[in-house]
Amino acid sequence: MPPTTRPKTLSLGQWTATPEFVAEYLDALESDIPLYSEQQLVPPMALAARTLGLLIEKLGLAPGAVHTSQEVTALKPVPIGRRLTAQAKPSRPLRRGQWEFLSVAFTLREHRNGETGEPVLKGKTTVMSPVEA
Amino acid sequence: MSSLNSSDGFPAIEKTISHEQIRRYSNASGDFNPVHLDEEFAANSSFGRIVAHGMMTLAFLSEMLTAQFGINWLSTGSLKVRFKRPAYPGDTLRTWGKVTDEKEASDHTLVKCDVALRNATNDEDLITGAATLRLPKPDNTQ
Repeated sequence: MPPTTRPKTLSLGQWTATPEFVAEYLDALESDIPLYSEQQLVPPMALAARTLGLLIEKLGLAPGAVHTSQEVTALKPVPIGRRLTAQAKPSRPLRRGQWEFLSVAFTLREHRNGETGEPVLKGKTTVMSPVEA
Repeated sequence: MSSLNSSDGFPAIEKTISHEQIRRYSNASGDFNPVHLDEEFAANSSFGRIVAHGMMTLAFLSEMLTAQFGINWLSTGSLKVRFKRPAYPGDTLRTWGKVTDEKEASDHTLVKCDVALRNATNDEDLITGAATLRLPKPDNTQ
């Protein structure tokens, strides 16, 4: 999606933090932290990772995009199985030489009984993408 | 879990990155950027070869903080980091962190930490930043 057509706020849609997703994520990390399985909680970075994956798809970032900085704040523990909804707000891109810098703030909220509830995670991602000549 | 002794570092987590792990992380996260998966594309990128996802390596720091602070990290933890260098398949990475400040409030202690992810071979920083969280004060009521 070209920068000029990026909307102010993007809906990243709804998804469920299924047991399969959490297991796949922890397997990829080769995590041996027992807390998640003992208390049936989703790692906050798993939520951030999935949100970022949706964001990359939605923004249509250039394939060579490089992650330069990241902020993540966990606001409450998220139980496995919880349905979530995410929104993102891209900033105006800044061009420096052959790179474009883009920051995107995002918020992940619970979605229960057909209604959007409390925020559970927020963050800000900054990426730089190569500008085509 | 947390000694809150600012002179002590946190127990380190050490991981060696593999192509297979990167592929599994792509599937879990939905991040299929070819710099992580396509040898030819990555060779022509600014990295020169395949690199691990920044979020995957950042997760190792979150794992360290979860091991240190438990549920409090999942409830109130905040990370702010810069990615300084990429991690490549074959690299062994080691987490580092220590408490730098504690501020008492009425019902909690605000804890600030410095954190880093380093290449275990040459000790170069790959990620640096800060973490904060709130630890509830013990309930003194009998």
